Amino acid sequence: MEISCSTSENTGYIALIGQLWQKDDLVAVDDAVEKYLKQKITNIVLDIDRLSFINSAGLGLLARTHSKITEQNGKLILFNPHSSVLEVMVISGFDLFMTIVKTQDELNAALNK
Amino acid sequence: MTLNKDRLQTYKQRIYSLLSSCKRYRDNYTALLEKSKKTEKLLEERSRSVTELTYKLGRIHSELDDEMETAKRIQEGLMPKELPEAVNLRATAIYIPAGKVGGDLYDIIITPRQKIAILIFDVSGHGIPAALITAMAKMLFANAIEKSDSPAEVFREVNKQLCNFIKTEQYLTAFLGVIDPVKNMMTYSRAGHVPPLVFNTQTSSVTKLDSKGFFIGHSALLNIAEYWNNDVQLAPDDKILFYTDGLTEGCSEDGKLYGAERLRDAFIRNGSNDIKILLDKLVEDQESFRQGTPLRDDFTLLCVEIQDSTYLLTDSGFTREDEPNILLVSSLSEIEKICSIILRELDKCGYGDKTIKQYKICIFEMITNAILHGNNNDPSKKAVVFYKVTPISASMSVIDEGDGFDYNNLPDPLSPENRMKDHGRGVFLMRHYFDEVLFNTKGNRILGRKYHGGK
Repeated sequence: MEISCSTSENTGYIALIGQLWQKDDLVAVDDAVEKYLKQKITNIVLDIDRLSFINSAGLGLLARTHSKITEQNGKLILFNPHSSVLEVMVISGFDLFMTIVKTQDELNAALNK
Repeated sequence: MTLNKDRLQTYKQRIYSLLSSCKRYRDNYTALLEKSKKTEKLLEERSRSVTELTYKLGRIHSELDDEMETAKRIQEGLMPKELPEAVNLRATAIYIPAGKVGGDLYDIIITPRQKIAILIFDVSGHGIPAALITAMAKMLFANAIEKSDSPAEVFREVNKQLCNFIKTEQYLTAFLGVIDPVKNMMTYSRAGHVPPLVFNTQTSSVTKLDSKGFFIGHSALLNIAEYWNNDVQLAPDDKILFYTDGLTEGCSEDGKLYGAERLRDAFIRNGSNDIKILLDKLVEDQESFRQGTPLRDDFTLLCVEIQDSTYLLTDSGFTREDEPNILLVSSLSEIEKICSIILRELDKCGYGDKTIKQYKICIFEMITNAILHGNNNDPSKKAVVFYKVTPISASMSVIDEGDGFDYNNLPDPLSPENRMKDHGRGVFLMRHYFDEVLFNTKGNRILGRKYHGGK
């Protein structure tokens, strides 16, 4: 999996490309989130437009990340998931407590822009 | 005393003659000296040339020696370092070289259809030409086995290719057996190779896997060579001995051949031993027959012991009639390979893209659970994957070496207290995507089934 990070207007953007299931990739995403939190950037957008696969370990990472960010009064936004990835998230009930947006407008609204 | 004129003249002539002779001798001596010097120089030059030539020859010899040594190492590299682990067999091999480079090769390959292909071949002749053909043939066999589980088809393909490559009089003999690990049935073809022997532990008897078939790779065979498949039903504990004729062509001091009969007798005498000890004993038997007579040809012995896979099948959730495919997995790095094998079957049977993606999640969850939780990520432990995909249903089960878990009391990942937890969704997802999920009593085997078009 490839991971790329950028920052804009006090929001951290982490793009995930490929498959999220391997331990090294889970650690890399966790490290990227930790880095933002240390910089007091607590609004984080996970751009998962090009994430083609996620398993329960990947879902577990997202749940833990959400919990960590919420504890710091921040917000985790999952942006534009692929239909099969969205399906797994919905089955796992993520849509009940996480912010999942499909369009740029929805993202802006979620970020209060 | 006075000399008369005539005598004086005579003396004069003699003196002139003597002087002339002296001059001639001196000239000859000078010429000889000159010649001798030239000869000496020439000898020196020749001697220098000989020294240089000897040095050059020495260097060429040493380079050739180095090249042969490299060729030997390359050839040794062609032999499998470790024989792959398969569900229902153990294998061991010995290679005895006669010179630096020979033409023997063996290989065990798990085919993409999860059959176990056992190959042995022997290229005619020795040295670098034989080694070159050996390397080429190994690649051609590997490619052909990748495409087909039919030994006869593999031989036809390799023969066609090798006939175009080999421009010398060389050829090879080969034997290829492809074992179905569930049925313990071996389909084999023989291309002029010495027939392997099967030792039955129950009866202590040996049978020969004979069949017809042409050599491979000689240009004269391009259009006439034909190969046939034969089947043999193997039983648990059967031992199959594959070998090359360098073994039976070993000679005693008085020129007698060791021969196939002596090998057969030695196999019957020692067949009950563990396969490693068995091969050592067979080599010892041939060596004691030869009594130090040098080998004329290198030889290879490969022994495969069939093991009972029934116990695995019993617990797999499948029956023998289901004829499931079997895969072994020991680390998470193998998941994607396993996934592509099984999903290819779903694709072939017309399961749609959506179902295939859902099935992929289930494969990942089943194998991850088995490796990480069942086997504690211990690479020495195996998880056995059984799968059967038909146009009606796609079923797979995974058995690990762990103590099992309580599958009846799993927390609900949708309940508020569990939502934020980073675990506990694997079985939940499988239960969602599969139409049936069944565990064995111990809890170390899960079986999932998805019906084509829903339950």
